[in-house]
Amino acid sequence: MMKITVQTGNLSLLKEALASDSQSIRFGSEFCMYALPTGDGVEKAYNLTRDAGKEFTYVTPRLAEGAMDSINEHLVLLNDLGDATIVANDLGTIHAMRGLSALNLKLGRQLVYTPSRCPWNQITEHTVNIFTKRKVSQIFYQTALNYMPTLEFYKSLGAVGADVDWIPELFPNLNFIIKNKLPVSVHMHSIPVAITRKCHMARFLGEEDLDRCSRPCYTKAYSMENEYLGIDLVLEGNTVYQVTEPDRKTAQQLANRGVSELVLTMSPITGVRSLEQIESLIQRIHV
Amino acid sequence: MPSLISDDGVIPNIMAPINSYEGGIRVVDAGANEVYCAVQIPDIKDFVLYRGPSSELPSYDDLGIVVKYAHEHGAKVDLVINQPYMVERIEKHIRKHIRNCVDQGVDHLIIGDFGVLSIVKKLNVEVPLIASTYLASMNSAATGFLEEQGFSRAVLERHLTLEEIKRIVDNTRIGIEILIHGGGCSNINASCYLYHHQFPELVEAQRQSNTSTPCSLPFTLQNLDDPQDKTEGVRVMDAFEYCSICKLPELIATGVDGLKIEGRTGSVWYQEATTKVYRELLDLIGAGRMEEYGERLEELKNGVYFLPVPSDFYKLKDIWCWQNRCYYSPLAQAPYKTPLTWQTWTKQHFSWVQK
Repeated sequence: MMKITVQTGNLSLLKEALASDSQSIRFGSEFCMYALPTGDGVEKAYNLTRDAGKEFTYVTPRLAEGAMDSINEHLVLLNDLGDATIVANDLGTIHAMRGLSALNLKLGRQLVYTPSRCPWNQITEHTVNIFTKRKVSQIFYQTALNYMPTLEFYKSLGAVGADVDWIPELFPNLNFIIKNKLPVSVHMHSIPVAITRKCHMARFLGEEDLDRCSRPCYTKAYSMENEYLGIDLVLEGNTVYQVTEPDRKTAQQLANRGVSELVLTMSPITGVRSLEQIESLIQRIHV
Repeated sequence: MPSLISDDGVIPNIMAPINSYEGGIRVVDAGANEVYCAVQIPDIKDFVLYRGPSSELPSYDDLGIVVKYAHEHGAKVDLVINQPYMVERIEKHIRKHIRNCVDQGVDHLIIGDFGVLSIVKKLNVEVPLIASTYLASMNSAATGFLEEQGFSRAVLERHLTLEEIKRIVDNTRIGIEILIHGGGCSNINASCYLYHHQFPELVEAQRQSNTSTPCSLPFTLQNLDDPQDKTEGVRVMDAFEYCSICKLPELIATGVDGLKIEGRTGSVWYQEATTKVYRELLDLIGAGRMEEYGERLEELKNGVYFLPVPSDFYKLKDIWCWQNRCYYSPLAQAPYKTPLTWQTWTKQHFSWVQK
């Protein structure tokens, strides 16, 4: 059974998500180390989610030293609170989870290298024949987890799942990961194309200190267009995305493949910010 | 200017990039302690992600020449196999490739993926391993993790502050390298999919905006919720750094083991000249001649010695210093850093043009 999970980093949006029909909640920051919740915020989100009878997953980004200190505290807190899943996007987080037996490790999108996140229409610069192109695309539309030793490596570290993107060309290759007993979660809507620490949006909007960032990314996203490139990109916070539109038919195919979870992020890009919008989307793609 | 040598007084090694045996010989002569390079993998040359064949030595024989020359002159050779992921279809080619390179006598393997690491371990080669920036080490827990996996050194991600680098060095047992010069990526290396391979639309976009990387391209930004909130021609992703010559004393004080120059796609001239400049500056600092170091900095900033090829006629100061394109500068600095047009450059340098 493929479940629907709502992801947010904001306590007020969390309340909307909790009221929805989603089976589980992801809380935290997937891409920005400056948007980590406080320990109190994590505890509150955990308790609210549990009280609502839903599963709780804490999402963490890539981390520098200072942010790693916060994550260490949050991991110990969640371990004390009990069963929780952690989405790790940094090797340091995996390291810090050692010995915290109540926590389950899920590999975040930043740990699952996926070349087809590249937004270009062409996958190689060479003018090659159709057979070579086919061979290249067979390599291109795979993830780092499509190689058994890599998959086994992460499983040996305790990974109980992995996140991937809504890239239809990639989906046939998810079978390998699922068949080898690593459950897969697919993020709907947005494919991260480029992630920075030197937040592009904060710089554009004149934020001068990332430690005191006013979080414009909670309410704004910008389309990015270059007339020669002919590719639609969207900037939200420190990440540039390609936007995809989930549909029921593809969601059904994913369910048939054995994908265990679809993740809906509440953000300016998805335009989902309320209970009604969550319910509407779930109705639209639910299988 | 006070000397700021690290606690143990050790000057870090210079790691210089090469893409030809000629480059290998010239950067070793220029004072590199280590050279790093990749070799073309014959059977998968059509599969290009970030860089094409111009960043690689063309053959194992060329690698052999570089290794021989480097070893004769007390330098080491680090082989880049930072394939960011591995799949079964290319496994046998990568395995053969690693074996061929190790047979040429390379001193380190630079690895960016745990699948590639598993191949190296199976081959049972006795060559120390370096974790590439593809493994995105940004904290000491990550470097601790890499140590457990068998790496003897890690190259840190560029997006760190000097304080963070020092803290990582202080809390890590393996060696730490940092990048100091050349195209500093605007995005975190391991999370950037704006591949540099050339195709007509990208080539044209770059030509129109006089840039050479996708992250330097100008974009029209429009608020998704407010069509009136629209700004044209914004180089919104252009945050890359370039140079570290002024920061060398502080970088040395962090205690890092290696200072890495970026530029495997650069010309031999760029690779040699850059290495020579950093060697000279590090030697001045090492000898405690800080006044001469300061004077030399000013000369360099007003010179055109070691800029990348397309900017031959610009002074370092014009493009980089005025826009604070220093490695390890504050992370959110604004305004946008755009290359000067030739008209602006001319006006700034020849006052009669403005009159």
